[in-house]
Amino acid sequence: MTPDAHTLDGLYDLVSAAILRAESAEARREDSRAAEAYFEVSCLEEEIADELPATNPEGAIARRGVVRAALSAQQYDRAFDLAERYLSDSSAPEDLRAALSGLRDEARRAMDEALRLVIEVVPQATFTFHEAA
Amino acid sequence: MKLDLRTLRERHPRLLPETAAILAVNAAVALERRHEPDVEMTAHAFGTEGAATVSWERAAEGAPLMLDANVVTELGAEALALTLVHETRGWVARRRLQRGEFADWLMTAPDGKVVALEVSGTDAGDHEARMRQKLLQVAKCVAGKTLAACVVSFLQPSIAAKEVLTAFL
Repeated sequence: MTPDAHTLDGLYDLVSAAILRAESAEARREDSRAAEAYFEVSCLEEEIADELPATNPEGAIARRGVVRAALSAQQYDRAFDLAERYLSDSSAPEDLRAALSGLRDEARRAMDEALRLVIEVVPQATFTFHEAA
Repeated sequence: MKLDLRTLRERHPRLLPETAAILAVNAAVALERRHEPDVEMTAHAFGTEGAATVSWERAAEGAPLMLDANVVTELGAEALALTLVHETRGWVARRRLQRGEFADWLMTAPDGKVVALEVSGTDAGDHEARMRQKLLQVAKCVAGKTLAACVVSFLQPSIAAKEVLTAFL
């Protein structure tokens, strides 16, 4: 059976497989494979979120899942942007908003930390100029 | 009661072959640490006590070396739990959840209602305490009309499943 990625059932089949792949790779400390699988999880959860409203419990699961998986994939910009997008939906229930705010803050901290770790390259002259006598 | 892990995909048609294979191989490795196929497990499923004969396809040689020990216990437990809840309640897997959602699986009951199932695997340890902890955890999941937990022990093989009673909440 090939899952139909255009149906909710098909997306559920695919996301279940991707989650198990991601968790297994993470446990084996295969970082790049885990990040790749979590990114796939995040993209599939986003498609599920597009199918279900925020007021539906499974729609809420998908929205949290999009952001959580993006964080696990170290896609902090994606996590932040999508958390903001889902928070801007006025129909989102309070418990979903609280969870998304927490995940957005986590993404923000990770983005700040990543910026802090960027090595600052300071150009340094290897010769000096002397003012004309 | 017979719990044949080779029937995982027949019981849960929405599991992709890849998903069923991951669950089955982890269960085989977890069980083969100490047991042979057709091992008898103590089973406490939703208030009924009994025994379950568990059978499976042996893991390929070298499989244990490829897998993480904790994942083996957790996913092995999930394979057994999915088989048990289908056998006893007819629940069918709908989707796996990520960590942080208070449950591992959303299932569909024969009447169409959504069930949230939290699974815990342990090699040893206090079965009852873990069950209490897992029932409290899954009680926080708002996605299921029915909330349940399943605890699997591999050392003294046993499997238990309980529903969260609404009075408990």
